[in-house]
Amino acid sequence: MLKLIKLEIKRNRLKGYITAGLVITVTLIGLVYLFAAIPYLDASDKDVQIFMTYNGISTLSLVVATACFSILSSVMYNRFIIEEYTSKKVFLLFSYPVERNRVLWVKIITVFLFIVISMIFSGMIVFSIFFITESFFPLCQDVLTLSTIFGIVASLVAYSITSAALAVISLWFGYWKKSASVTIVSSVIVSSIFGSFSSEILLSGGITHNLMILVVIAAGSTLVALALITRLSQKINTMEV
Amino acid sequence: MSTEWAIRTKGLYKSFGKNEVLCNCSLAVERGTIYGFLGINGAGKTTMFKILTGLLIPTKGEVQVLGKDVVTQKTDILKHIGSLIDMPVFYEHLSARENLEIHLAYMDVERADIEETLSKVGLQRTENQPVSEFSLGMRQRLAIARAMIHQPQLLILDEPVNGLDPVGIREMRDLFKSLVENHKVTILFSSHILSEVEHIAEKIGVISNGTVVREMTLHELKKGSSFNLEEYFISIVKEGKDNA
Repeated sequence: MLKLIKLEIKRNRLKGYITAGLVITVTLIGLVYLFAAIPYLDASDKDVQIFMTYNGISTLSLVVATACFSILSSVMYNRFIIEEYTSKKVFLLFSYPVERNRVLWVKIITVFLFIVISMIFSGMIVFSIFFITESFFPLCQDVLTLSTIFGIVASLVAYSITSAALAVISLWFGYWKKSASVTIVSSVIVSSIFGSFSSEILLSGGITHNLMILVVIAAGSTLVALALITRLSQKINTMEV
Repeated sequence: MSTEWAIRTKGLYKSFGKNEVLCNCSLAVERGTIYGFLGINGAGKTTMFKILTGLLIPTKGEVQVLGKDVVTQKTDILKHIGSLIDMPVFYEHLSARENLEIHLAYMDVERADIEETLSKVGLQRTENQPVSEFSLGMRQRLAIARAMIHQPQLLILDEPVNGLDPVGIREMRDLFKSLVENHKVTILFSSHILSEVEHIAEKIGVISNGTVVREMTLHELKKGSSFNLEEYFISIVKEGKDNA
């Protein structure tokens, strides 16, 4: 399996996706500071309270990060799967003495792991920088405790898994329509639905409450992704080219 | 001594919806020989090749490749065949060497001489050039290199000399002959260049309207004093059209 993952990485250059991950990270750093600065810009607004706690700032930042990495993931799925199975490259892929469903799973695992690891790294960088500067020049009026940090790190892992799993839904639509634009547009739609739905729920509770909901969302989206991949694998196994 | 077959199909049918592309097709390729497969465009050559390499599933009939069933033992068969079907596809951003390395890794072959293989197909000194910069002829040569680098027992080549210049065609001809003579490889190939088929094939099969209508060794065909492959091929195709 590891050998096949290495081959997948060699065949599809990751450099561009790493650069995209770095761009998202830099954007998120700016966004976190913008969220923290909002109460200073218009303190009279009622909705500004969300930005006065670390929970609020981290929740909103992570929802945006989830959407960004999910779209990045859909771009990768488009390159790794849709382009390969719908173009003449499929002749090459099917000429190898490796089970077709194994190759598909390797592709999914490669993208899934890349997205989860990249988002965790990205989140770690963003929040490390933010919390270090907060300890010297606090923008947020909330108190930063160890449990808050733990809650954010745990949420980051759950959001990362959700981000990678949500992209599988867009992969499904993209493969169905054999189109890159359908993959990416559906990813934007799925991420937007997730964003508005989750921020509505998560902003109403504390960090522990949020974490429980996030674990349920991550597990649920992973189960949906598994069901879709199984169906896709059956299609590819009987595919004729 | 009984004949050892590299490929044997019996009563093979393949339909796409209501369109029957192969109809009661029987093909027999002896091990260690070169078999030229002829047919006009749309006769069913590529469909046959795709079935033999597991890209298509037969609608009905028996297909044995290297003594194994192509539907149930596809993965085992793919380890021992090299193929070139349709226009060759590569990882464009990678060099010829890297493309071959990836191919070998997927074929689970650890030892192979990439330099020697590239040199055999006339692609020496292009090792590090990205394939995206290759000409049509160079791509064809690389496709042949990829088909043979893992030392398969059987080569299935659809129009292997497409896009090659006369020198290239002759080089490939010598290469195919040496693979059969020195490594006991079996080659099934199709080509519209009849002179080329005549130069290297030991047996010729003609497919017309989805059926292999004639299979004969070149030796048998040349028994007649004034044998002409072009006339022979056209007469079979006309016969097939009249019977259709």
